[in-house]
Amino acid sequence: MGIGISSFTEVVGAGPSKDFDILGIKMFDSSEIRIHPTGKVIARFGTKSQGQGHETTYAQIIAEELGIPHTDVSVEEGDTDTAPYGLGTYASRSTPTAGAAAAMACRKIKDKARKIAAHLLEAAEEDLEWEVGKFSVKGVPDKSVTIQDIAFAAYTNHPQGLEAGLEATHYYDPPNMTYPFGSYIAVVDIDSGTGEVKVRRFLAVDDCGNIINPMIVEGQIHGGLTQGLAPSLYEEISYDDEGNITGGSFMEYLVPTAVETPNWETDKTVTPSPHHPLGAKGVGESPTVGAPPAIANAVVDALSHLGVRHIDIPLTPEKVWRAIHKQDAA
Amino acid sequence: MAQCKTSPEVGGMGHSVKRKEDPRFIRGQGNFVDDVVRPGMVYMDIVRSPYAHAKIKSINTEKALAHPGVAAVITGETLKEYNLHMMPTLMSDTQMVLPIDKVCYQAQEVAAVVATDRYSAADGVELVEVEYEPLPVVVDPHKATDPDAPIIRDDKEGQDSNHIFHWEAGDKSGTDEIFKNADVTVKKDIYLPRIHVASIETCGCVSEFDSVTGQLTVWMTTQAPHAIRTVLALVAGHVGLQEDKIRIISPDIGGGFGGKVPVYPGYVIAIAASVVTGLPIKWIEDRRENLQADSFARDYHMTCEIAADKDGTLNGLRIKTLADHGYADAAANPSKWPAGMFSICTGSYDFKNAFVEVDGVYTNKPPGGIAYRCSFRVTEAVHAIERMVDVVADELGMDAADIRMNNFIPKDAFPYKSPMGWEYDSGDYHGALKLAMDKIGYDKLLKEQAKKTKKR
Amino acid sequence: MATQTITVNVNGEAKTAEVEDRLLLVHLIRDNHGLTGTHIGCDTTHCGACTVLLDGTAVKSCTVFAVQANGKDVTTIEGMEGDALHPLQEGFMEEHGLQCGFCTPGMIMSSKHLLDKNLNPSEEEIRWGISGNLCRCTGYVNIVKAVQYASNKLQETSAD
Repeated sequence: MGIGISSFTEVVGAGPSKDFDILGIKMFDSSEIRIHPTGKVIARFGTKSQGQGHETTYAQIIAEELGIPHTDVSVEEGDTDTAPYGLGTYASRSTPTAGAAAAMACRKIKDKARKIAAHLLEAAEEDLEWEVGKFSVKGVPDKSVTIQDIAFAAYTNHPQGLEAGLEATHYYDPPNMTYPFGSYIAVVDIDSGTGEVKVRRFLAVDDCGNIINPMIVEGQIHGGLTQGLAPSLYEEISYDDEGNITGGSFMEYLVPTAVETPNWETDKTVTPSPHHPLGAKGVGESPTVGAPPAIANAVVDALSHLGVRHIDIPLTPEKVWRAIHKQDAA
Repeated sequence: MAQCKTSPEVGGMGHSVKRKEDPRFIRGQGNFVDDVVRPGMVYMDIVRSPYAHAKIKSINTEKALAHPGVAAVITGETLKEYNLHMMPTLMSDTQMVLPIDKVCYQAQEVAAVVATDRYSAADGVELVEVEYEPLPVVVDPHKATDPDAPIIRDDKEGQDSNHIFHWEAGDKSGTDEIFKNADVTVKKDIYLPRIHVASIETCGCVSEFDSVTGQLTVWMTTQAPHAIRTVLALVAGHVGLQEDKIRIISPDIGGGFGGKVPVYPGYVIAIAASVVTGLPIKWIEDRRENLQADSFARDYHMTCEIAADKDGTLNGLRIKTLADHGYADAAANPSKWPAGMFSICTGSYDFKNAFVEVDGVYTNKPPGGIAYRCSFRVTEAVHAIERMVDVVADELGMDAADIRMNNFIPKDAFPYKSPMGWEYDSGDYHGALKLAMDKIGYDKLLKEQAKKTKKR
Repeated sequence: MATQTITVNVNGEAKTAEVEDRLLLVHLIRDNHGLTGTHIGCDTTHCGACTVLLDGTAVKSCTVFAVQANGKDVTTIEGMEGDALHPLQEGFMEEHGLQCGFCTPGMIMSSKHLLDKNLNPSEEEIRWGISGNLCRCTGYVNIVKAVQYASNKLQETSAD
């Protein structure tokens, strides 16, 4: 049996304009948020979810900032005719860039909302305090207006000198990348007769700063770990001397099924990012980054008493068997 | 984490609210690219090269065009008329949309067939006759820069070898000094083979051009629709496409993970075909095409070295990498980073100094390659450092957890500037590892292992 | 190519079409009958995204010819919701058993087959039961939980 550790630091959230661009286009991202008279929200982004749950998580950011229920927030991405310009979703960049843009756009909205609230409550802006979803006069909690009251007023009773409407757009240029991290421990058992590696247990402790939706983060970890398991034990695309591919269909290219995939165990620590408006970091790619060395380290650990010091992934039964029996790989 | 600021009904941060996406997906009412149907839509399929490197002697489309369902066959010559036979990659290299002179990887696109239905398009592909003259092949990247290696990119002016780029980061002389004076040095060759992300949905698009309004609409499996729009406007501006008249719609996407960032030739051919024919064109690749031609990930040959003290203090890190990019550098890295963020490789440890160098080379394989959930080469960097820390531990007879705890950047050292220039924002590496060890029962596992090993 | 007229009972509705012999069932469902919930994810019968029930048994519709379904019952994901969502559909939402949603219809149909044959499967039986369905997003843990949710709910209602 072997025990393997991987204590990785990731770097995600591309990225600050001084260092990052794709074909010259800077890697900011954007959020455009509009509140309707009845207090419901439409929010559009320059990112594009492919399963990461942005329709939910971005709504949650807006709910956090403005106190509007997440079920009252519609999120759209992906249509270049309507979405504000962004660089898309990959490399765990969405929460660090577009998520931050959403928070900043909400704060612009809150600034304007304060002005409208002051007008409605006939008070000075400095005399108002914000509590989730409403402004009230300091010391007079009964004198308050909700964000929904304010939204309605933005179209029906806006203060003179101020534009009507309640919306904001923010293009967020991150000041730095974010650095999620974690420690993974894999426990493997190896069948010395066949070289087969079985992952007995795999524990992933991840830290992605402040978490928007724990269920979604955990789902991302499960999926990412499975895409870390896959190259560790099963996946390889290779070519013969004439450039013919071996691994060109699912016959040879082995994507793990529910049978090969262990019951992933997850936990977390929370170390917020000091520069992100929500203290959040990206997370989706951490497990794919951190898992393979944990598994490779566990397999080498299992065989170290035989003098094995390193084996390249994928740790196929053939490779492992040859290492055990001290034969060079074919 | 501090208690949630909002109620579960408001559902702000920290709440595990149910997903708003789910109601349509569990009913099979998602809107994926292959679900898009447009009036008068036709289908495109692609003829692909069986050879990894070969001259194209001729392409005979007569039999294909004679098939009753086939509307058109597009070759490199067709696209050359519009100067669309080549396109830039995201790393400012160039790649073929459709070849004129030769093919450079097995499964490369050679011609496209447009037909009334999928089956006729597939029939048409079988009927296109291509005559090839095989050329010598470069498969082993270590041999790519041999003096007698065939030059793969002889189409590029000034390209007299298969070398693409040399990139360095860190302090070479300072790191060499550390290695010279080290108590202990370890060295290992670590190879991360080529892999493919294989999202369950393959890539594809539906392209529709309205010649009256000049409006191009493309439903595309893309993770970055705006970037696609701008690149199209820049690349095809000369054929009359302008950015206010290009609409890219990225609808529901069945997994991306980086594999749906690159601009694949299939998209460009479909778009060109829709403009030329005036018909909406659907192109959906099948799984074999996806695995054999789309952007791969990894394929990094890394020679890694660590210099340490006898007590396990990690001082210096050196990594020399050979990067196999296939026949074009089409990795979707940010432009100043040909090796992505590989220099994060000092990892969670407080190295005194480090130096890395990466050389990218061309081979006769599909172009790429960071398309598999890797954060721009961070998988490679982390695999290298985490394996090497264990190699040092083995060398010194130290426990793998101990050596990490002794070398972690401490919590109060953040923001931390690494020898590579990264400013880590925050971290608590000791806390995370301790929690992991406690939860898995690390000591108990060590005891079990000691017993099992003694038995042998 | 020769064509023939076939009638397939799709989700309880008789649907007639004129098809080539070589037309795959998945294309009949998606293209001829416009039911795009069933997806295509591979070309070697591995991924299971195309799974439907043919006379109550899970099949990979990419590996069945449409003509083979002539006169038979086909149930697709669109046929799972009656007056209410099927407990499997509910379970996938409750347990976060989906992310991109592409494998989900096939996964649900395979799970239906499993629960129809074995109302109370063990975790291992669930994992084997869905081993013909690939998922790249979820890592399967929550899919297993979703099937367990449905199993519990179905057992409750059958006990009523």
